[in-house]
Formats: sequence, C-alpha cells, structure tokens
Amino acid sequence: MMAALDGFLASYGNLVNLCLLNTLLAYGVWLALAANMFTLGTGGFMAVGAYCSVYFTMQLGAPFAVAVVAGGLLAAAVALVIGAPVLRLRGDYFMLATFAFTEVVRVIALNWDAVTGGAIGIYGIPRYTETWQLVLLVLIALYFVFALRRSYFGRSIAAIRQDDVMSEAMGVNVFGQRLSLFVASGFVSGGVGGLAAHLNFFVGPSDFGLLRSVDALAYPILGGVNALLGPMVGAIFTTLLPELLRFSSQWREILMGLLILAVVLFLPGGAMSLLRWRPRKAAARRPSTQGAE
Amino acid sequence: MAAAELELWQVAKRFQGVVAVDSVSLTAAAGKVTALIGPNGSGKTTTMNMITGLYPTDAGHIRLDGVDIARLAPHKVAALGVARTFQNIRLLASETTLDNVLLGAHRHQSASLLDVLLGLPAVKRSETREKARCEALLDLVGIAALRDVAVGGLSYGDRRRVEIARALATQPRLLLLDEPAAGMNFAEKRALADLVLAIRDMGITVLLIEHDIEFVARVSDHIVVLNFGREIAAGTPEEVRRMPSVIEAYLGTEDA
Repeated sequence: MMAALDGFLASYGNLVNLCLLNTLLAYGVWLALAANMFTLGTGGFMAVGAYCSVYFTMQLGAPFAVAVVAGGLLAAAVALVIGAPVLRLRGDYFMLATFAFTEVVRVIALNWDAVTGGAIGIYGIPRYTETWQLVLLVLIALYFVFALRRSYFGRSIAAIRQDDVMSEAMGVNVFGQRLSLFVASGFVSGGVGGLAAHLNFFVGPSDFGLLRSVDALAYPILGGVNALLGPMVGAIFTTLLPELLRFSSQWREILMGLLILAVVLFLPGGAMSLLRWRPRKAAARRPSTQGAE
Repeated sequence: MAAAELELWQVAKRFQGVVAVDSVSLTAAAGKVTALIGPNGSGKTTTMNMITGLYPTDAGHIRLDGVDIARLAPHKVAALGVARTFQNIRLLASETTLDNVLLGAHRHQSASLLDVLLGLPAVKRSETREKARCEALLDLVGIAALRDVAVGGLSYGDRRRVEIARALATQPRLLLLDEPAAGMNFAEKRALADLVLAIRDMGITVLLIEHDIEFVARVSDHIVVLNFGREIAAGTPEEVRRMPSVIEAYLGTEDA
C-alpha cells in the first residue's frame, strides 16, 4: 500500500502538488468571490508573498514556516492598503483596478534587482514545500470555509453577493466585511506564492501575471461558488485537464477553451451544480420571482 | 427599547440638477403610525432612502431622538434601530423564508469570527436564540408554515410579509414601510392593517408610504402629503381628506 503510494507520487508527485497548491489558491480567491469581488489581484499577491518568503529563507535564513507566514502577512497588508480605495469601485472597474495592481507588482519585480533578481528572477530556491504540508493546509482551508459558510457570517456574505444595498440596510457592514475578505484572500494568495516559490526552485516576474490571476479566478467559478467543494473541484479539473489532453498538443488549448466555455454556458452555477440538478429543476417550475434591482 | 421619534427638517435632495426632494419637514411621533402620501414622483421613496442613509442629504437635518443620522452609513443607521422594507421587494429568492429573516438578526449575533472558526458553543447558543426569535416573528406576521420554503416561490403578499418579518428581526425602534399594501387583495390588506397596528402597539414607531388611501386612513395617526418634493399638508386622516390642496394634488384643479 505505502509502496504503491510512493510509486504514484514518484511519477505524479508534481501534478499532485500542483493540484493541492491550486486548490489552496482557489479557496483564497473564493474568499473574495463569495462577496462578489472578481479579483485579478491574485497574481500580484502571490508575487508579493513569493518574493517576501524567498527573501526570508535565502537572505535572512528564517525557518520555512515563518517565511511563508511572513509572505502571507505582507500580501495581506498590501491588500489592506489597496483595498480601501479599490473596494469603492464596482464590477468592471474593480477588476481593472486589481489587474492594474498585479501589473504594478510585476513591473516592480522586473526592476527591483536587489530583491527580486530583476528579469532573470531568483534561481536555486531550496525545495522546502512538501506534499503533506499542502494536504494539511488544504484540510485547514476546507474546515475554515466550511465553518464560515454555515455561520451567520456565511449568511451575510451570501447576502452581500446577491444584494449589497439590501444587506447594508439590514445592518450588515458591507464595506467592513468585503475588506476583511479581501485581506484574507490576499493572505492566502501570498502564502500560496511562498509555497509555490519553494516548490519550483525558481521565481521570476512572469510567474504571477494576468494569466495566473485569471486562472485562479476560473477555479472557483468553474467548480461552483455555492458549493463547499466547488473551488477544489474547479482547481483540480483545470490543473489536470491539460495533462489529460496531452495526446494532442495542438488540440489541447482549443479543447480546454471549449470545455470551459461549455461549463460557463450550461452550468452557470459551476460544475458542482450537477449534483443539485433535481432541486434546481423543481425551483424552476415555481414562478420566477427574482427581486428587481 | 422604546419607540423613537423621527424628525426631518428642510431635507433636500437633487440628482444632477433634478430636484427630487425640494424641502421636506416632518415628524413621525414616537409610538405612532405616520403615513407619507403623495402622487408618483413626489419624493416619498427618495425621502425614505435619505432616512436610511442610502442617499446622502443635500441639505437639512434628519434626527432620530435628537441625534443627527443624515451623514451615517446605512448599516450604522440600522444599528441605531431603523429598519425598512423595499418598494420592489428585495429578498434572496433562492433562500428559505427563515434564512431571509435571519439576515435581519445579523446585528444581534454575538459570536466573533474566532468563535466561529473554533466552533465554540457560544456560536450555537447565539444562533439558536436568534432562530427562535425569528420563528416567533414568522408566527407574528402569519407565515410560520412557510419557514422552510424558498421565498422565490411565495406569493407577492407573502413576500411582503417576509420583508416585514426581516425588518422586525433587526429589533427596530423605527420601522419604514415602502408601499406595503401594493399588489395585495382586499383580505390581505385588512390583515396587513392589523399587523401594522400590532407593530405600533409593540412600541415601534412606523412611517409608511402608501397609495391606498383606505389603508392609510385605517392605520395612520398622522398623515403628511408630499407634492413636487415639498410637504403640502399634514394632519389626521379626517383633516387631510378635506384639505383643498390635497384634493388638487391628487385630482388636479377644475380648469387644469
């Protein structure tokens, strides 16, 4: 049994680690998405966390755990600073502003040679991140999201997502809750950045750009924001798919795009809504009564 | 918790030059039902949105028991004991009646985020307490049987009741009702009138916007009439009904 597991990890270890890492990231993004914040700042926060934690381990000789937490905390602090102005923006403008943030971080990483290694990046980062650590962190993230969702905070977050004006009038501090979630999302993304850096031996300015942010946003959307396991399903699906489509390198990206399009078109509640097909059909038979804006 | 007195003094609101509320002064006496009536576009809902902090005022004062609330964020106004319903019903359609009403109890939940993440017993206690309170409110407004039904499937009148129960769950001192009787049939309106009077008797000041004059006359202690963003008349239902300015606002002058 153990031998079989060892054998499996020897062949697919990288893929397993990547799935776990992306799952963690998906829950980080979910925190923002749950209150309707379509953030493209994830790449920026990951970069902040990655460079910070690498600085801690390689320059300061700090323990790995301290370095990862420091990376998360710095990213959270940055989220707090940019959150106050950015959260006043709505919809598209919020996305643009968070995208701009990710770009600013990338440009800084490109030019601040002393800390980031500039365009060349940082090579030879010790590999400290291990599979069991990622499994543990995913379990902790799952528990936190589970506890949050079933509490009254979960109720108010769901209300903010659907109608923030009404939530505010019912006494929910919408701005305060959004800012807290944005900072928490920044913390998780920063931590994941640190873990990724110590898994891949290398960080460079192009690792955490717009593409990374869009991917991260796609995980919980594809899996389903309303289901506890949605972000995990979305992250694993999106990570494994390119591998499964390896038989045809030309069709790979096209098929990938088509599959994502299909999920968005036919399962607007994400892949996890497949499991709740029946109640949805029953609900559709009742008179449609969406609250007007 | 005592009923609150609401006082508006020369409150004004403009939207890019269009005067929505020109100058409104009124008092909703503590523990009474005050009705705000007037033709469409006379500024009733804008006034209500200013009271609840949704719109900042351009001029004037809004005082709740003497405290100016005109510059406060909506959730802070709610924290002072002001609750409202919406003209266009704003409920979470896919969630149950009870879950919708529980949102109103949000500010009375005492468990912190840390308590929640650690799963402390205080969390469950607080949740159980608020659930019981909300169920009692469902009973009060007469929809106890619908507690586990998604509100998207409820009738118009029942959804208005869910909104009232949710507003009551915040434990308000002042309740604002924006056209509560709209779309209701005769029997539903009578039941709603009884409910409004019961709410008043619970020690809650009520300010309501309503077009149905029959309903207004039945529940109101005091009526304020708005037209073109100004109050043009005020008094008891009997007094207001006879005022020439009111008749003119609603029916127009003879040569108009």
